Amino acid sequence: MDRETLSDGLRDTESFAERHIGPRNEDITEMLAALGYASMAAFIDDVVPDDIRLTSPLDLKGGGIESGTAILAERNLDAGRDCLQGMSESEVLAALKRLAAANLVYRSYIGMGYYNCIVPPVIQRNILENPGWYTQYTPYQAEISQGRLEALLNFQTMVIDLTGLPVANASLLDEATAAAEAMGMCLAASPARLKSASTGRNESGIFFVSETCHPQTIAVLQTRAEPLGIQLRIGNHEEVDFDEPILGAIVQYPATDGAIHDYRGFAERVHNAGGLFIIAADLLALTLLQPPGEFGADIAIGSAQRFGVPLGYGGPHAAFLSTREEFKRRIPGRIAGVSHDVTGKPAIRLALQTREQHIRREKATSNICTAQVLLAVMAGMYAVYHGPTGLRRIAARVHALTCMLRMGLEEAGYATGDAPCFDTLCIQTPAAEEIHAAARAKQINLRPIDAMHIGISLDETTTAADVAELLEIFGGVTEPVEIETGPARLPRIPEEFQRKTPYLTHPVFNSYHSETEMLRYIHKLQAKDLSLVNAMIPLGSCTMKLNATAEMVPVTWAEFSDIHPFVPREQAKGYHALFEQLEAWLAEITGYSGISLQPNAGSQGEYAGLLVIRKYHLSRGEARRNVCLIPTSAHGTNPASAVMAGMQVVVVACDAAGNVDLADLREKAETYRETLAAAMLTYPSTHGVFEKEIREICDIVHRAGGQVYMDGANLNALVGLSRPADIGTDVCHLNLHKTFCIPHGGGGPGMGPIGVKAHLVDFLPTHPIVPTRLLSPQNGGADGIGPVSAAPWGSPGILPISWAYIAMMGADGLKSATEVAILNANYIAKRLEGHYPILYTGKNGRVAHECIIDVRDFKKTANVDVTDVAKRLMDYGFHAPTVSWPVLGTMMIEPTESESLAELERFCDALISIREEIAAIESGVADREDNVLKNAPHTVDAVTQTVWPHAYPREAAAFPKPWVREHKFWPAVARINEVHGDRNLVCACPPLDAYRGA
Amino acid sequence: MVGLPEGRWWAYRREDGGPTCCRQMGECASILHNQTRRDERKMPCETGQNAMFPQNLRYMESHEWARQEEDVATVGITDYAQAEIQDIVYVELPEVGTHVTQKTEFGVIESVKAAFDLYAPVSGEVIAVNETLVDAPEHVNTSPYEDGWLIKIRMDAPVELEALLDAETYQKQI
Repeated sequence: MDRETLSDGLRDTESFAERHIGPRNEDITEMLAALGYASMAAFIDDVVPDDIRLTSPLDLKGGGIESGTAILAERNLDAGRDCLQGMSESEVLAALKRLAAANLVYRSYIGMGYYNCIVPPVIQRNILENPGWYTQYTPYQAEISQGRLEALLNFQTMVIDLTGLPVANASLLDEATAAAEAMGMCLAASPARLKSASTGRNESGIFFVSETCHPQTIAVLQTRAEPLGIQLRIGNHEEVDFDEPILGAIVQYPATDGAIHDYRGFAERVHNAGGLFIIAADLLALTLLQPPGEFGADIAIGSAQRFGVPLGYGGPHAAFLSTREEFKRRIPGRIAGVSHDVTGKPAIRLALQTREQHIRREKATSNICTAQVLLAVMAGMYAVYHGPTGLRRIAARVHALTCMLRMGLEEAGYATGDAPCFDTLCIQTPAAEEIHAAARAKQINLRPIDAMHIGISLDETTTAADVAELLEIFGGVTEPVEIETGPARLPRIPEEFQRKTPYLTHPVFNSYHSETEMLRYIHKLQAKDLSLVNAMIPLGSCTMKLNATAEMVPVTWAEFSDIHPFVPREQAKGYHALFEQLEAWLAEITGYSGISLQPNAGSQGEYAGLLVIRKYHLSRGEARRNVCLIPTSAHGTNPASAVMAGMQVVVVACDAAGNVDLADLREKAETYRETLAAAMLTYPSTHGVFEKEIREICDIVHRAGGQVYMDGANLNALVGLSRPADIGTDVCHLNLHKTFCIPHGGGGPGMGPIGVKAHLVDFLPTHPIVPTRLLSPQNGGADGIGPVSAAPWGSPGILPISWAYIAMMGADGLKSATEVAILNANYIAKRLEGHYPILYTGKNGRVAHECIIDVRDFKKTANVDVTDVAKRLMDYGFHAPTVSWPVLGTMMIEPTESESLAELERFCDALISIREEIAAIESGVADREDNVLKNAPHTVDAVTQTVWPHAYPREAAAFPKPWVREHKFWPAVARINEVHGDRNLVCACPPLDAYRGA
Repeated sequence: MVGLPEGRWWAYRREDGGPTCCRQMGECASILHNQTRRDERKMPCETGQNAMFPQNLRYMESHEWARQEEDVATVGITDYAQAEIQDIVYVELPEVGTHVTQKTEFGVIESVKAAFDLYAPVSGEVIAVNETLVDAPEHVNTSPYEDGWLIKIRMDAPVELEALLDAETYQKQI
């Protein structure tokens, strides 16, 4: 046997790329032939413009930056293998195990908004680790999303009850950005804004921030306020005087040092000064404390992390925001709202969407798009599982242990202040450093407030033995102080702060307290959601590709999930090695020089990238540059982010072919030559086209003094074939939850890191608590913009997913994935082109990784609109493609590389069958009103009703093609009345009798 | 029908689904006829009168109308606009006492899927807003010229009305 055959035989039979990519080699050959090509290379040559092509493979060997890569070096030494090919699943799990082992899981009592908690195993396994819950998209097609919509309604109800404010949304990115969003609400609600003529920027008003807010919250507020012209006043709420009007004020409850303050008087002073009063509140504390809604709060925000969501070294976690009824149309983010379907059955859907960026664009209440739905679902389920009694028990125990600790410390002679507390103490001591060292020796982290103060926060996981150990560290009594813990004797929160109002009284929080009941509830909801476990989800621009199990497994390993974001860096070496490697890989993939992993959503990446550009101009003395050119075809987050970055949006037209209108761009670049800050482009375009003028577009912007921002949402058509930096762009964000396999979770979590060229690296985001660019050869980040996220690396807990994906695919695999993604889209376009017009094509009549089909004509010919087609697809067992974006009345299809040929064919068969159904209406065979499209989706209730009122048979409704029987997914509700839901906002769980009548 | 092209009638459904237009459904060539959906109510065609473009109003290209009553202008959106927008779920209006300027935004009107800025036909002080729209924004759909009025402005300069379009011109440019 010769050497080659031997090594062939020894070659690892596990090739992950084959598992990730849907079509088999034979299928690929067949699809290429159908399109008229003999090889993939010839096909790609025809589709992707020559002048932007990479000429050599990606070099993914590694960043070469000190510590971390040593751990991975042994992998690179394997004979006969290089990073072109990628690791197998077993190898990547072994590599991640080694990385994880470099993380030290100490017991952290650091607090500051992050607390250890117990994730109920039933929730961990059946939601966090269950693709039936984490592979869904945002619930825009509500009829097949009733599961997660109900879970979000539970989350909202929990927030409404605990905060005492009647309107809540379905999650924000983290507590600090939630505070920034609340500040934005104050700005929008303020009656008048003064425009400063010279800078063109608004002197928008004053916003007060209590110095006892968590420091990362204060820092994010500072970053957010500056470009909007908001002047922050940071100070002591007890001492501040408002002698001029203010936009609003924010305080922490309990404060970051643990103190519980009476804010009633302060609330009055804020209101008298014309401002809104915002409370950053702790959800667990609210089970015992008077809720903000009862003492003058207009808005409450906070993190839901401690309700059963792992720390993850900073995220992902869901944040919440609740407010008064009168502000409901100003709140950011998605809201789950109750309406009913055409039969009158209660149904949940996303309400008041006209606030959001995809409709309102630069006038949106926020740029937020992807939020933290999966984590909000988990937090809501934690409340469902524990119920009000269980939560109160947890809170009471935490409080009792804190009192025990406090008494022990005071007995040992330490001062802990006079203010009442819930779970956090601030201890004054000149021996702080020694105490921290003693703690570390026991693998314990305390909070280093300053040279004279130590903070300790207890949590759900703390035991009496832990308290004894803490007292020992402080040199105190080693026997726990006896505290009577019977219900009558529990240490009390002072009377004036005690919560009197009941909460979580709805039956959903009082019915599922055995594990069996909880398990069944979770699965009952899951069964109502169509996810990637059922069928392809061909949403254009969402990139619903495989979220491989091997990628997901490490997420719940303790060494990744149980690390507090503010532990000393040396305890998180595994994470840091992973960050360095991932940054190096992303830099290679994009061609940029520097990467920031801080933004935890694509919209956040856009915002951060624009702030970087802004800082760049400021550093060159060009503060006047504040205009941002954005094409009409851009995603709504683009103009919304530009407005948040203090820029003025100028819209650039698109031509008849759907590409950026060069003449209009030239004219506007010239008009705004003195004030141009940036242009935002998407490449390939949002229409799915590799615009051939892309280099020219970048040149035009550069010549006018602007920087080019690229929206990286469509990177799935570029990886390995071309690089954003090489094309001429300066900054781009990546959607790791699209291109790099982080699951969509039903609307989050996401990650939106940015890449920048060398001249912008200095301005990447910093963080006040853990420096993010310690190892940068250039500096300590002195010129960087402030933090845009609460945690320094965004949501690190899910970064192992993208790391694993890149490691397993290798350069070859990534390139193949891109090629197959483009092939799949073109194959679908080919199969459908005889039935639906394909809108917009590029070079040689090809599309990139997505295609748009036009259904607008059917309005006239058959009384059918795009919504009807979307709902009818549900009857076939499919989620619709992206509806009415970027072009109203059309559908944008992105299959991704993960879908097999069989699934592509099935989807095309469904759409072609629907075209035939439309033809029947056009020809008069089917009625214009009473037809399968108008009445879609058909529920099992509808199809089994005794009297069948329709002109077509039941079978046509539910099983339009024989193969549908094998793949049937029943929508839980019929078509939902959206109008009713927006006219009557109900964002909390309705009483049960609402369901009985239906 | 004065001023309307031949065959261009609005057709609406009653609650029981039957047509209520002066002309039977099949004969109606209105582009908006085809947008009628089963669960929508619409304003009944008013006995053949040209209710769609009342002669006594002034119009803007952006589909607002103004009715003059001495020095006060009542403002709303046209029947054409409300039919295009379809079911209105919310109207954002300025506070009484706000000063508005001709052709600048004074509010927003929203359907489920879209939001439209409203532009003031004349300059002046807002002396009244239609409070009924808070609970029943659908009045703008069912009665765009009467119950669905939006705001009343005490005009700074009534002569500004002359810059607006008359019914025929407005209708032609749709």
